[in-house]
Amino acid sequence: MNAKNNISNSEDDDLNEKAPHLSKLSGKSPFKADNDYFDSFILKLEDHIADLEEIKTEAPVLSNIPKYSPFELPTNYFDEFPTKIQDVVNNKTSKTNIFEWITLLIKPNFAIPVLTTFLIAFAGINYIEKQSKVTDTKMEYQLSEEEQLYLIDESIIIDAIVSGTSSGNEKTIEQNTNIENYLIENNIDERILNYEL
Amino acid sequence: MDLSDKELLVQFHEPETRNYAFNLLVRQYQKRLYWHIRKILIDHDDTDDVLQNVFIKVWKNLDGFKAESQLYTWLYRIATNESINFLNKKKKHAGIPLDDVSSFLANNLESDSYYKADEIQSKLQKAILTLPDKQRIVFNMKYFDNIKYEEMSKILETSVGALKASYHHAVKKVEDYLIKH
Repeated sequence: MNAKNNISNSEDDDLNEKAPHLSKLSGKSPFKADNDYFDSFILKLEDHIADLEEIKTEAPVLSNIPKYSPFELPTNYFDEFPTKIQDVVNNKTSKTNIFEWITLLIKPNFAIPVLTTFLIAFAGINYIEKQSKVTDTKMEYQLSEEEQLYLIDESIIIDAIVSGTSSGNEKTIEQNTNIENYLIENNIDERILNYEL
Repeated sequence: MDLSDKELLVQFHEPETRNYAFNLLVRQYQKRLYWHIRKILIDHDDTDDVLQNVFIKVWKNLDGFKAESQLYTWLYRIATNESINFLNKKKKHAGIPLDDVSSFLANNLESDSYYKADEIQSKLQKAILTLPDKQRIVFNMKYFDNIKYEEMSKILETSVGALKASYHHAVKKVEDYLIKH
C-alpha cells in the first residue's frame, strides 16, 4: 500500500514538473450519461441478443447477410440540407401570408365590413369626382365667355354698347313724339289723362 | 450543440430564436428521418422531396405540438405518413395497382444512381420490396434500426401485438425469397 502511494506521489511530482497547468486541473471526467443509462443498457442488450437469436433460428439465410446500407447520398447532403430547408420554409411562410390574407378576405366576418367600406369609399370618390366635373364645366363655360370677349376687338364692343344704348333712346324719343301728336290731334288734355290713370 | 427536445420547443416558441431552434431541430433529426424515408421510397430524389415536406409540416405544426408524445415519435409519424402518401400518389400517377409495390420500387432501386449493392445485398433489398408497404416499414424499423415495438407502436399507431406478428411474417417472407432466388 505504501509502495503504491509512493509510486502515485512520484507520478504526481512528475506531472507537476512536466505539465504544471494540467496537474492543477481536476481529474474528474467531463462526460456524463443519464442516470438510468446503465440499467437500460443491459435490458437493451438482452433484447438485441434475443432478436438475433430469433432471426438465426427463424431465418438463417437472412441472419448471414451482413447488415449494411447499400444506399448512398450526394456529398455534403446533410451539411447543406438545413440551409436548403430554411430557405424553403422562409419562402413558404411569405407565400402563406399572402394566401392567409386571401383566405381572410373571403371570410364573411372580415369580407362584409371590408366590402362595405370599399363601397362607401367608392361611392364617395365617385360623388366627389362628379361634383368636380360640374364645377369644371361651369368654369370652362365662364372661361370660354371671357376668352371669346378677349378675342373680340375692344372698339367693336364699345361701339356695340354705344349703338345699343343710342338706338334705345332714339326709339323712346320717337314713341314719345308719336304719343304727343296723338294727344294733340284728338284734343286730349294730358292732366286729365294723368288723373284718370 | 445538441439541445434537448424540451429546450428546442421553448426556443421555437420564441420569435427571436424560432429560426435558430428550427435549424437545430433539422440538424438533430435529418439523418434519422432521411434514412427512415429512404428505406421506404428507395430513390434519393424522392426521399429529398419528402424530407423537405416533412420539415415544412413540422415548421407549420410545431406550435400546436403537445408535449404529450415525444418529439422523435411525432417526427417519425409525419415522415412515415408523408412517405406512404407520396408512394401511393406516385403509384397512382404511374397507373400501378397500390398493392404491386415490388416491381415499381425495384425499378427505382436499379435506376437510382445513389445505390451501390453487391449481389447478396441486392437480393435482400429485392426481397424486402416484395413486402406490403406497412410490413416493409415494420421490418426495416425492427431489423435495421432496432426500434423497440413500444416505440414503433406510438409511431405507427398500431398495437405491439400486431407489430410483432407483422415482423414475424415479414421475416418469414424475406427468408423464403432468399431461399428461392
